[in-house]
Amino acid sequence: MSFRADSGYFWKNREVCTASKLMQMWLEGDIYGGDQSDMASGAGLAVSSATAPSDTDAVWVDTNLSLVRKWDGSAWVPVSGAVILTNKSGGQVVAGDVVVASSGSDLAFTTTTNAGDSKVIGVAAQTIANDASGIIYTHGKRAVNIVDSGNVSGIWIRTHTVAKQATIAPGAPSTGQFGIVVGVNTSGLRQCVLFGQATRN
Amino acid sequence: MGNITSASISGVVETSQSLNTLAAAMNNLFTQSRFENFSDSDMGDTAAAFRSQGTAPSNVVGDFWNDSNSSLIRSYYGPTGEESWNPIGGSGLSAKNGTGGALVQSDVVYMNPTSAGSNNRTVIGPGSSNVAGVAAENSSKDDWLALWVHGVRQIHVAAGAVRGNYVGNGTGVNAAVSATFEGSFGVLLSDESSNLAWALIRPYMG
Repeated sequence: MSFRADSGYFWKNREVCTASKLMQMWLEGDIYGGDQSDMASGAGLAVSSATAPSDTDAVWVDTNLSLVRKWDGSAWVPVSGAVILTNKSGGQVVAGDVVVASSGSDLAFTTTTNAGDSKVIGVAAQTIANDASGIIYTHGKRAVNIVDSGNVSGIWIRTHTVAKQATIAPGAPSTGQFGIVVGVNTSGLRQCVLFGQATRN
Repeated sequence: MGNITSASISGVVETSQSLNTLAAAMNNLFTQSRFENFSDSDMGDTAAAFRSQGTAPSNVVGDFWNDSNSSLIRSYYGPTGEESWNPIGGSGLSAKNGTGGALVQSDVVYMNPTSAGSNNRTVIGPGSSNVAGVAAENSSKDDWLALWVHGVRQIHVAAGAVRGNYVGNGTGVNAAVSATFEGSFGVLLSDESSNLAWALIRPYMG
């Protein structure tokens, strides 16, 4: 069920609604078809905010991290383009740092000093302390911690031999490329499109 | 887009109220001028609503489904005869169960490269190297179902699978475990228990 509203003679397209007009519609039966579920918490609303809504039936448009998120019973998980994992790198990571899957802990990430690591996941979306959970971007146009300077737009990237950093990997697809540079340097980071996958040669 | 001006309407409309009480509550909201700037589109048939529940909503016109069972947000569309609740975004897709039997959530499924026409989104399994994704819900033979294709998901894997390995094409609905990247569609994020393990799944690297 959901509430429906008729377009009556006093209710014209794009006409601004007032409380008195809604009252008139209500009394004349022009609003109909709804039941309690339409106004219960489970009706589901999209909430745009920088912090999580209190209603766990809502869909949260996270304006801070540019993600759409939903409650899975324990956390506000991203609908797509990112995942939540625990930092087991032994130190803090910050937004843009490159991370890979951990083989030492469940549902966790770590950092790598292996060039072209094919277990790359993506980049941190936020500061995440060691042993804390946080968001890792896997897809989309995101800011990445890249060691290289100068204009490197249009060049693939992969993990670097320095932990948390990416480096450019020009040429034909090689193992571990996980994105491509598309933007200039911004606050020490560079805009890249992340593939959500690592290539192989 | 309309607004309800109060920061909260809790205490005005409660889930356990009868319709008569709801009507009184609506009147209360109106007289307190908590509605403003609504247009036809905000309450018409095309006004999209998110339905948060574990089973598919009955009212599909223009609605989104916040699916608490598969942890996907879905919208209803498709060519005539193929209508289904399709996952939104890159984390899932909709496909038809062409396995000849039932699937349960977390089963690994494969594309059917020989099907055509209205069946070109059919999945089969096992026996193909074309991993399509992981069943996001239970489905019967020939039903449409949502698949997980990306993200951190719980998937069926072979017994003894160990965290940190890659997962690839198996001989059944359980993914096989591999130490090599080639042919994988994900990385295990936990050890196997009862043929289930957490994995970061992503497109198949054939």
